[in-house]
Amino acid sequence: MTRRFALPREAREFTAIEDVSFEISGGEFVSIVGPSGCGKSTLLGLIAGLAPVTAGRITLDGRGVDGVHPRLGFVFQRDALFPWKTVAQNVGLPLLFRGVDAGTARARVADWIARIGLTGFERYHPHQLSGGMRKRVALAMTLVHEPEIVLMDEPFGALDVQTRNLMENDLLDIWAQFRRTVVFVTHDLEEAIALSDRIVVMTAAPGRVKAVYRITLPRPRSVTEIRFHPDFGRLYETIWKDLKDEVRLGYERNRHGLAG
Amino acid sequence: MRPVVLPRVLALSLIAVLVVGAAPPGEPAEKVTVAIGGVALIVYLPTMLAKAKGYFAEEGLDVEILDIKGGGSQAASALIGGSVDFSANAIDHAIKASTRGKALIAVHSHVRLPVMGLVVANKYRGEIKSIADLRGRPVGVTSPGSQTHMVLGFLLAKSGLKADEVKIVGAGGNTMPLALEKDSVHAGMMVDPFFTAFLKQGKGYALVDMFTTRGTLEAMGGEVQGTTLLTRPDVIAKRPAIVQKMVNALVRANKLIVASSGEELARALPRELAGDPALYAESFEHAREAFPPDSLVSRDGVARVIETMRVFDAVPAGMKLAPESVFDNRFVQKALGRK
Amino acid sequence: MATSGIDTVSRAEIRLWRLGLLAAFLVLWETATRRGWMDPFFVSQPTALAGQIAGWIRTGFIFRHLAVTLQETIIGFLLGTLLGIVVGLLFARWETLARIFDPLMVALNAMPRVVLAPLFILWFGLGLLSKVVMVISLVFFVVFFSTYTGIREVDRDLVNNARILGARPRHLIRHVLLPSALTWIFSSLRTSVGFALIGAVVGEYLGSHEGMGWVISYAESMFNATGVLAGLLVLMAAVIVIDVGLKRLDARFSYWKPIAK
Repeated sequence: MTRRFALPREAREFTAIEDVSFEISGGEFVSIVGPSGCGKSTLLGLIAGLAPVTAGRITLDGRGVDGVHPRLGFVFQRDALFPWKTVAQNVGLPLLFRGVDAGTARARVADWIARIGLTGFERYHPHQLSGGMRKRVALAMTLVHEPEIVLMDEPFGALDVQTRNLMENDLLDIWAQFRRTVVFVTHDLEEAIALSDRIVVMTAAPGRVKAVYRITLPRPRSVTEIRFHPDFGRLYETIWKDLKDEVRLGYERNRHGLAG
Repeated sequence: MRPVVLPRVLALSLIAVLVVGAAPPGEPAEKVTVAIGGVALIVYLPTMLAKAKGYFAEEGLDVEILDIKGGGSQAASALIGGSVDFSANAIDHAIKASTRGKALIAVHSHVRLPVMGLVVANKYRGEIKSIADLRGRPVGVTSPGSQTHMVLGFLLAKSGLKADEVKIVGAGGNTMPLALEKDSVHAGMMVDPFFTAFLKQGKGYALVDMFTTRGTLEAMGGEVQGTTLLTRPDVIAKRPAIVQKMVNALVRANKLIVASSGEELARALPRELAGDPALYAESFEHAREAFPPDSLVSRDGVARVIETMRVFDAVPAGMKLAPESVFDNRFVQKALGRK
Repeated sequence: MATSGIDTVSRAEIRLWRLGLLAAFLVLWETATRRGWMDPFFVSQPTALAGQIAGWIRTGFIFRHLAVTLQETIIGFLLGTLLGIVVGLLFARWETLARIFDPLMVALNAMPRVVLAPLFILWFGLGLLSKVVMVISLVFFVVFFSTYTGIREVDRDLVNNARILGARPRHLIRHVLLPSALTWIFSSLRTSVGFALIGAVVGEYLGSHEGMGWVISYAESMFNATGVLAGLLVLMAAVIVIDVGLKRLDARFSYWKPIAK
């Protein structure tokens, strides 16, 4: 089982996050929510090893984070597909980088393209696909090399509501199949509750952990249906109380131009 | 302090008034422009000397000399286009213009020889002994289509070589010595002062020397008309007085040249023109014969130039061109008669 | 007439208009020189130009000189492009290099290299080499700057994504940096072709024994305006042909771009 144990950290000249510390168990789906500017994206970047920690430590599976961890996957907010490559080439890229032999790679790529429901689109280029389709390719690309930890930075933010719901369901389906650890950053509390096992609520900048909630809703879930579960509303109210203050705080700060 | 300064100021203003007032009254000098492609070349000596000695001014002319970087062709172009009234040019340019239907008339002969030499780089001393040995080699001329180009063509033809049996390269006038040194060309047509300097430094030897009458006769088989003062027919028609005055000054200049030594001439010219006076004197003495005492344009000389230009089809085979159409000695004759 | 302002003129119509304009221009030119409104000595005339070019083609005269110029242009262009891409890559990859050399690059680029032509001829002789060097000096900077910019402009997310996916530095260069820079490089190629030709022609003009620059220089000293213009026309045609080729190449490499009209 993989485990992450995090300690206080900061970043850059102004303190993005301060004194954040929590643990994540292997196979958990954890969401991080917070107001804009609370540093949740920064946090993800730190975990991914894309940026250095100013103070504190991140350990993955007992080992410290030093640069990009090879067993990690990351889905970006904006499409990070390579526009000059086809769908198949995009999905196969991580395998190419890791030196997987051509035959195995081909098979796995085909498998994943089928899983995201894009069979027949192998030779298409990103610009020929819709937003939702691109997101699915991004997912496949991230998961094809079977990372142990998947980080997702507001991946569905740019999609329209219907597509978003579909994608969320797809995500849950795929996740159910191999149960890796997922750290999911979002500002959409409903989405977070619908998807996660636990939710970490962050304060306004400089971000701290305000509270951690366990989501006790049963699995498997359907994103659209789970809203009507009696516990959903209660959970939402509770967590929203914490989040609301931070959101307002963040908004006020921005209005008055405070850097925090 | 005051009483001392006032008289001084008074004195100065008095002197100023006197100086201004003392300027000779009379007609203001007439402005004339002359284009020359490279004023340092010795072939332009008559014009440059006339200016340095004030002969133009004494004729009531304010002559402005435009040193055209593009060389002779550009100077002639300026004349054809009308932006200058005169140009000091090889007669070749008048002939070329004539083939294109534009008339340019030579009214004064600066030099009556080509005043150039065919120089070979020293390293080929054993190999290149005659013009025929130039076959297949790169040979430099100052620029494509220039007088040096035409003359070279004539020399080649006379030795039985066709123009494309030699690689004729435009190597510039003042860059010719360098081109020879760097072996970009094996031989080149050189003008002075480069010719004299180059040979003096022992960097090369001359296959053909057309600075002297004998050398020219040997190489070209007869007289060759060189640099002249060119002008347009409309200038002659509308402002004959100006043309006459120009020619008067130039005839005086030629007379002075043939009567002077190289050192005297070097001293008469501005420093930047004469350069090293000793070298200038030497190169002048070498070319002394080229300057015609009578300043007259030679008909035979012009005819021979026309023939040299037929080699390159610069004068097309079928075209008849009468030498008389490109020169007019009346002004010189009048100037001589006045003497 | 359409009131919305949308251009409803078809492509065929536009072509017709263009041809018509050209024809009118030529007719005017010819008439002006025949009637004496303009002097053909200075501006030549369409019939003379056509005759000159036809004569050149018939005798094969022009092919030899055009070949020489194109040879110089293409060799210099390829070398300059290669150099530009390599150096651009190096500088984009190693920031410190870029910072050290930046003022030098800007200064060198600001120097009008055309003015350096006589020096190049002095240093490299009157043959092919000096013209190739001339071309390289012009092409290099254009390609270098656009490669450098193209690589720096690469989407940070793409680079990060590649790294997370496990890309090694050579992977990054091959799969991310170069393809991204390629658009920039291609657009710069079309500009630099024009420069390349200019470099070759100017070099020939100042010192050579063959090539289009030589032809034009010779014609000029012979007061042959027709020759000069004809030479220019031939060069123009050459550039157009090369440009069409490059456009095709660019299209072939831009298959992944969204179609923008």
